[in-house]
Amino acid sequence: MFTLRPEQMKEVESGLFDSFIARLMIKLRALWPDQTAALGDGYKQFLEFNIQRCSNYGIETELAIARIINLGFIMGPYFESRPDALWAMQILKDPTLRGPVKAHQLSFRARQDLQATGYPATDDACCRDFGERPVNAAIQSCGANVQNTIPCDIDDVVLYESPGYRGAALTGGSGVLRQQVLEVVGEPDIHTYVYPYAAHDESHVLVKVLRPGESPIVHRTGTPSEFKFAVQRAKQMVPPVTLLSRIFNLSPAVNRYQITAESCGVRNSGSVNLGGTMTVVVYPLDQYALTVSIPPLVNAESTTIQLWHNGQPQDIAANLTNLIGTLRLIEVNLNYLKSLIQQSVPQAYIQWSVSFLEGQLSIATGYREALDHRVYFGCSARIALTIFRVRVTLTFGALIGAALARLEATIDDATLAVDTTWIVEAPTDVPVPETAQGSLSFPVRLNGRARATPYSLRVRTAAGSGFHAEGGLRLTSFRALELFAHIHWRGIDAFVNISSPSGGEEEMPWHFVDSYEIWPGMVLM
Amino acid sequence: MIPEYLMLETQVSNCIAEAQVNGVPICRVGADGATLDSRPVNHFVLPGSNTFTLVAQPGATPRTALTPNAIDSKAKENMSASLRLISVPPGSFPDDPAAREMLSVSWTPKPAQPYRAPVLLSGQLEFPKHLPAWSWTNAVSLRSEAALESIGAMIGELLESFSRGDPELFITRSNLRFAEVSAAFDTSIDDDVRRFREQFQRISSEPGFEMHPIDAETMDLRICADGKLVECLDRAWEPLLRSNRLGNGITRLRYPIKVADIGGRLEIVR
Repeated sequence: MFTLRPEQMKEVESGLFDSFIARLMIKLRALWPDQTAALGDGYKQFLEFNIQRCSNYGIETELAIARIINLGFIMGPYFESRPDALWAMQILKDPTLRGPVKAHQLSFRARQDLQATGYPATDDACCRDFGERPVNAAIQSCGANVQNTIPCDIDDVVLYESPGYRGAALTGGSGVLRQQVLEVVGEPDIHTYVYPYAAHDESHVLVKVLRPGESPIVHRTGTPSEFKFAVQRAKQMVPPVTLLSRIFNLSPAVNRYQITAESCGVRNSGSVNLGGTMTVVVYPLDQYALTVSIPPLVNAESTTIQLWHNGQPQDIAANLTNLIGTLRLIEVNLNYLKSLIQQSVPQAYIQWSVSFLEGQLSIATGYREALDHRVYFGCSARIALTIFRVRVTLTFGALIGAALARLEATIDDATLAVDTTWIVEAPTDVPVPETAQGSLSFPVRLNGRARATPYSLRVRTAAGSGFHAEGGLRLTSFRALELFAHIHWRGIDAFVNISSPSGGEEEMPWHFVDSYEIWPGMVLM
Repeated sequence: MIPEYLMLETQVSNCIAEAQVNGVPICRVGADGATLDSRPVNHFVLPGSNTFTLVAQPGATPRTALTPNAIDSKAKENMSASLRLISVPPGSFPDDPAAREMLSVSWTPKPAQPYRAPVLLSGQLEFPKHLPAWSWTNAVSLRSEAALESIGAMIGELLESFSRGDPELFITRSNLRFAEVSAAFDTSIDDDVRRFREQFQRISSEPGFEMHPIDAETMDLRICADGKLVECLDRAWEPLLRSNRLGNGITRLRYPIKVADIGGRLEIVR
């Protein structure tokens, strides 16, 4: 193994430095023959002094030092101290800039300032002949860029959806932050315009498009150019289970395309733009229209449902079966409730009419693009549903204490209805207002007459007797729409007051009819 | 056997109403959630002309029940009150075809219609002269503070007796009541007294039973029947003689009594 002792290292470093001085003297003499001749014997000392000056500013690579000293020949010695070149001092003292970047920024700013009078091509010559080797380093660090560094920066990368002409862009040359997400509906072509501010060669600016399920697209350009790529909507991994979740899905599967742009990040002034990331989010194009019509009273057979997907009628036999199955179950449960009442109060005479989910539900939905590059869930809905309507008269007899009584329990045409309109036409609109659901108790009114004896009777229902219904349309935890209803028969409990003219008034609680769950919760559609 | 029961039905919707027979309060409906009161009133009907009065939206306390309001109120939706007197054969129900309506009075204001509470509506009916004339019709007027104080003292004694588990003082003070009710409904006095005693003993032996103490501040003795009767209530329309309310909201026993001065002695007559 070959090892350098410290004194040997010093000799090597000294040799390298002398070599750089020698090459620099030759190069600058060729570029600036008159000026170097004027320096006479002090030429080498002049260079050594300037190398030390660069080191004071953190500039220690051969190329950067060469460019700074060359700039001194262009603008004059100690140009950074001149009142008309304060920008130079600012660049040199900027602790965030690497040495080579300082050199480049000084060069390009000077190039701009001197554009009118003509900027000599000496800088380019320096760039060709010197590399990024540190002047005092004997051993190169691994991966160090030994190539000549030339400016490389991005002015802008702009995405446009075609034919919508809506765009998103990276940070522009002005430094103003711009939209970096482009949301689109459907599968449009995305046009990508790349505007290099400056590029060190045709390998930069480097633009990559990362595509879900496909290989990345790589585009390299040193000059303003355009390329386009197609986007595809995401495949629905789990098909929607219910009719409503098919048309009302606030968390659809989306595809995300990531566009990255990359430069070396060297600029003469302003913010350096190394690159950045933009995203194209692709939403499904599908448009749905659904109408549901449920007749008054529970009548499964007369229910109609129609669903259109992108204007085409759909086969929804399975969903229809679901709803009709629910309605049939409600019918069965209501009939069971009748028999339960008759078990509780024998010889009861029942008159009632019951409706469940009666009315109309019309919804049109789909994802739409807003002008601000955002996609929103558009919805137009008219919901006029009677969740539960009941009218009941129940007549029955009961022996209460010493009195034989005839009782009448009534609920007069009580209705729980949801009647609302939703219009969602902007990203900030709320898809489901709270008014889309309701809750109501339908108390039983109970009257009783005792048979004609000295006994009299007065009854009142205890709190909670009757029906309790709640229902409507609501968002599930999966951000899908759900039709729901909860119907509960709370039975009939009463406070009974029985008295006779010669006795006291006796009051007691009395249970007449048991409670029963008619429908527990959700109606899948 | 009694030929027919005179059933007074008082029914309300969205309001409170009181029924009176010849100025004697019979029932108050609508305040506690019950909307119908159906009871026999044979023992309040007098020979000759009888007045049946429906008092819709009575005052807040018994004594102010008939005091007119200073300003009009507006009727609510579905507000109504009615009073019917029905003659019902024994054992039938008041809504059976065999029942016969003798009188009907009703108040059915339209929504937002102005009215001045209380609204009094009356009907007159003639009854046979051979019916019994009840004891209080010849009673001494009780329109004096001294009379009311005496009644208060009597109530205190009755409460003390009940609190000891003893209903006998009440039974003694109710002799006229038992006799007249028995006559009105053709029942046995002994049976009625026995049933009264049994009812009190049965209910007073239940766990948690206690008589409600009397608060002189809330006592609201109400003079009625042209000053000849006093209804013993508190300001919340509750009978002064009653048990404490239980945890489930039930007041197991109430004695809504009416007292008269019969020959210089205070008697429970109804």
